[in-house]
Amino acid sequence: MKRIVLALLGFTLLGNAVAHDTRSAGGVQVTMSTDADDGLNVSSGTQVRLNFLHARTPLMACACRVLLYRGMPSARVPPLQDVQLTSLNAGGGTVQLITVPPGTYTLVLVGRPVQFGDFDAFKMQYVLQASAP
Amino acid sequence: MKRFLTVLCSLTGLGSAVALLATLPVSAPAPAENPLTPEKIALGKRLFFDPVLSRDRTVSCSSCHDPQHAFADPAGQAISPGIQGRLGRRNAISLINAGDRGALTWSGTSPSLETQAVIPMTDHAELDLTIDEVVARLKADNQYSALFRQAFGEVASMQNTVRALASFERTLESRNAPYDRYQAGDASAFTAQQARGMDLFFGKADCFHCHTGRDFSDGRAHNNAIQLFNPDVGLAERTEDDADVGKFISPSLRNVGLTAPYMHDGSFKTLREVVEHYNAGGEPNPNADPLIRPLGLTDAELDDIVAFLKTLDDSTIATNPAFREEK
Repeated sequence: MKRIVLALLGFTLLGNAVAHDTRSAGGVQVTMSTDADDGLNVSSGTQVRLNFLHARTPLMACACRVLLYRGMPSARVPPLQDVQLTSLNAGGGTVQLITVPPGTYTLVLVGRPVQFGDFDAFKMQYVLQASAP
Repeated sequence: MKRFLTVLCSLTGLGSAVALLATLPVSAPAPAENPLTPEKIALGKRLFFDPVLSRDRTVSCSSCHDPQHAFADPAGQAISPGIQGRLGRRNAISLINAGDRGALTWSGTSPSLETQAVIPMTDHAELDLTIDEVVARLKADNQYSALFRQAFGEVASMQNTVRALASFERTLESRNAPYDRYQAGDASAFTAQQARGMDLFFGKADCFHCHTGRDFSDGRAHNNAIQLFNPDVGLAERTEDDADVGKFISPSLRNVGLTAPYMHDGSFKTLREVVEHYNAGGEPNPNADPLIRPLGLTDAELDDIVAFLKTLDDSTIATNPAFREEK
């Protein structure tokens, strides 16, 4: 019985890990997760975790920017937030986002190599929900 | 025989055509409804330099389109003031070879020099007159009344005012830069650095995609990612399309070394700043042109491109008497 419970727990954890959004562009693989079950908090800020892999090894440096837009990104409005993400720790970086009201948001991740040629510039977009508690 | 030829020429209209060709300067093609004549050019030139077309008679077309700077903003001015120091939104584009362009102004709002000329005259931040005020002012001036009769055979009107201005502007032609001499086979017109810069311009730096043709402009609108968010919507003010927000017509690079500062808002002071912007890949504007990306150019290569760009300068513009105000 104990073994079954452990196996179920393992599958559950694995399921959560697999659920994080993983994408590739410019030779870089990015896994995005948040401390709000991959959405956005409405009662406090949200911590976004980004893990970068390049050629199957953790990316050590990226001139990255994280932009948060309400709804879809539009050139008619400035982003709600514009955060620089330059230092990565073992391929990982965190960004603290502001508290937002319920709604749909888009997080834009723009990546550029610190050293030209390390990887191709990339852009990824994530649609995130901020749900009322 | 001579009398016979004279009669023949006058009968065929050849005589007048030959005489006209002899007196008309090199110019851009004129539309059928506004053929060039020396009288229209002379009237347009006088109007261009005359502050009579501004409400308080302090500002003329040449205040923002300075002959010393290839008919772009005077030195260092991102945006030239209109009457009473009022500031508009955009840097004045060079008028050199403007008669050959199909899309005038940064957002391409004017298809012809005639329609463009109305904009600054009636803009609150520029010359700030109504069409009726322009016409009344010119009709009340005896000298202008005579000049309009000579040019058009009738009294001053707004239509003829813009036709005269456009006629003068069509004469602002210039393709006598080191680049032109190099293209014509004079290898000595370029230094080694300028030749390297040209190779980069048409190669690794990809500048030629937007800056193409004999005047180095594709005449199309692009968002060149100079700002993450640009309050000036550019082309979208005409199309109202979200995808056009922040797009501006690629300016000609002719005389670019004489027309600092740069971009639609004059926010870049030097050519070096411009090429550094493109080399860095621009800001992540949602409408940024996909061609804007990090280029990986070295400092030396950026210097080479700047050196090449200066080969597009025609130093004779500032001294050409046909382009200067007649005192």
